[in-house]
Amino acid sequence: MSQRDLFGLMWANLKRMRARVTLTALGVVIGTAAVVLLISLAIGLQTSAEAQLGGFGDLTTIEVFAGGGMMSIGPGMAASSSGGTDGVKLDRAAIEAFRKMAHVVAVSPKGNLSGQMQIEFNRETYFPGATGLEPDVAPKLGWRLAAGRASIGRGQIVIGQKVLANDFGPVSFGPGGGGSAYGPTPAPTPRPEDLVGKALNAELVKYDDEGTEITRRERLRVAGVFESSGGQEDYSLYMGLDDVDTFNRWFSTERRNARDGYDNVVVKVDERTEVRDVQKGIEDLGFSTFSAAQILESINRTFIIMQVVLGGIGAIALLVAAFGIANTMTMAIYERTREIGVMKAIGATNRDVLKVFLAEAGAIGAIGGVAGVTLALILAQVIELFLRAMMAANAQGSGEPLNLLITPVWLALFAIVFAILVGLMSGIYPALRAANLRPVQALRSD
Amino acid sequence: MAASTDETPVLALTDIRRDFRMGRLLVRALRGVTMDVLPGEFLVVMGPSGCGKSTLLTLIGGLDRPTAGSIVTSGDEDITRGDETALAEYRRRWIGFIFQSYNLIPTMTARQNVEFPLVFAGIGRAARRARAEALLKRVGLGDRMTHRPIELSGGQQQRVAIARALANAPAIVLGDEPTGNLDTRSGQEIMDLLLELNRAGTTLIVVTHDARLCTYAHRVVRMEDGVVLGVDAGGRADEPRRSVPIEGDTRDVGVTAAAVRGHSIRRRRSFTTAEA
Ligand SMILES: Nc1ncnc2c1ncn2[C@@H]1O[C@H](COP(=O)(O)OP(=O)(O)O)[C@@H](O)[C@H]1O
Ligand SMILES: [Mg+2]
Repeated sequence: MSQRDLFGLMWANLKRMRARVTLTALGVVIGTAAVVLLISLAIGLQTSAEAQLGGFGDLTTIEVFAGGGMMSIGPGMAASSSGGTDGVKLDRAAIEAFRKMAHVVAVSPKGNLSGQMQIEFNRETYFPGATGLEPDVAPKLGWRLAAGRASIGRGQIVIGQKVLANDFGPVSFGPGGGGSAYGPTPAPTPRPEDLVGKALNAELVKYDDEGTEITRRERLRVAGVFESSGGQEDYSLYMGLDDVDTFNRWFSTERRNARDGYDNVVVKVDERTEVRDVQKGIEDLGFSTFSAAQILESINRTFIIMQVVLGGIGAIALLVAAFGIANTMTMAIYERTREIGVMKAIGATNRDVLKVFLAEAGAIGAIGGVAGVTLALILAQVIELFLRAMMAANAQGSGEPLNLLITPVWLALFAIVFAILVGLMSGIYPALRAANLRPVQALRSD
Repeated sequence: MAASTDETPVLALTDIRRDFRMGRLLVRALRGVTMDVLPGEFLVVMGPSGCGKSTLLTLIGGLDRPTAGSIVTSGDEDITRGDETALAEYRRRWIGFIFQSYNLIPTMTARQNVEFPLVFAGIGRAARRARAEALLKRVGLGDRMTHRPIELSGGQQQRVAIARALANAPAIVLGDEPTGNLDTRSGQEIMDLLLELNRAGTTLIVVTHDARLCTYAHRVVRMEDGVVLGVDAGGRADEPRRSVPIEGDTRDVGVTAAAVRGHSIRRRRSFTTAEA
């Protein structure tokens, strides 16, 4: 029997039990649509979570902290620590050790300004976070400049694109998203080229034991402006590590020797896939680490579990549909027993009979699958429109349209293939029964 | 007797037994049947109801397996030893079935019903259609090609069934009371058609109650209680049996050719028109 004849026969048989096929396929439609919608939801959530993670920036850097030290990176982002390592210092020797590790391309201590600094520019006051770096390390970390140079001498700074921008500060919704929301008095953000060479007035503020404000004025010359990364770096200002040390000593009441060790070291790795191993190596030395890659990995893991769980819930609906198909095919075989006998009498092999009934079961799955995916896509649009209307009604309508449901092509194809498989599997038992009917008995039935 | 002894039978049945177990009861439907089917003959099997005629026919047709005994074709194959697939192949190449209740597929047109065996034989669409149309014309239904069974009379349905039985140009056409459901006139027409087919070279075995058919037969097998009582000369005992030369492929075989296809043909070359 040729494929074409098999298809023709299958189609004719489906047509003659049209009502039952429709009802049975409806079960598959619901199951498939449920699988597609629920997995689309999981993917949509993952995608928007990943977009927000864009704010973490570089996926090939690892932040290293002194062992057991306290870190506050942000809510819900615990850095891993291998604990109980008070003796390990994050010093020059440690940095050298990191540098010798495979796949490490750059290492730099990072110093964070421990007090408040404000910068005057165009009669506006800005409060950027300031970080100290080794003078020439920025390019090695993969940070590219939009203008100027990256080497930071004394009294020099390299700034992120948004340090002097008139917006609401470091609230990032996906790459490039944050900059579009302007405050009530928008002033044009200065172009990077125009900033290079400018001297900015900076003011450091501290309070003495009586609570009196003491200020220290500095002039900081802009050596360069980083390219926008879309992350939090855009809102940071970088200065020489020595300057940060100097300022921190001024902030601090007790004298502290910086050579005792750094609070924070940044390690750059060549490939994203190597981050995990390097991170492990550093932790084995007794340091705490943090990497966006690791967070992303664990978030992805969570979302894959979510996809499986939600997909599984949808699959239960498909399981019910599978029983429907098996039932319909069993009924069909009862009704067509005599016909099966005839088919065999005129030369059909058991295989031919098997193929005919399997094809019918598979086709019910296929019809249900295609219709189910179509239904899911339509429903996804409807839900999307509904959500957008809700967001618009919520006054703010802030920027980015949020895609709650994302249906990739692979998911649609997978769902259809899965529905066909469900059909075929449900059809196996009835089809085998039909194929193995003894011709005499089949012909005798009424 | 019509048979000359040196002739290879199309089928040789030896000591065929068929027991049916019904709970603790053993029904011995056939209790040792030995007989030959000669090329080109019109063989009628007669006997009272329940004597095992239908059982015999299903065994000859490869729809069932005997409890004991052998059925050897002129191709020297014992069909009782083959597996399911071999049996299906035997049914397709060697046998055409005509049932008392026609057994047409109700959703198919007359032409599609006749084409159906050719579908399983893997014949292409155009050839299939041409052959089905030729066969339907042959049985006098040239103007009913696209009618469904429900739109046809019993006699017409049986004609479609006969055309279907001939589709694969089988070596033997089997009829189990083919006129049993028909009124006298339609029954007569079907008998005439069978006679005509046999005269053109189709080997026929027909099981019947109807004594009229004996006049059409070369030989009449009388059965009772699962055994053959005897073989009588039929009304056409002296008429030469005509057997169409076996050709290689159904597609090339004329409408009336009682030919089989493929490898089983090799050893059947020896008989052409057998004389009494
Ligand atoms: N599948 C079966 N199971 C049990 N008994 C059967 C079966 N088929 C036939 N028989 C019995 O075998 C005997 C012969 O039946 P059958 O060949 O149909 O007779 P006929 O066609 O001559 O009227 C009967 O007694 C019948 O009851
Ligand atoms: Mg009978």
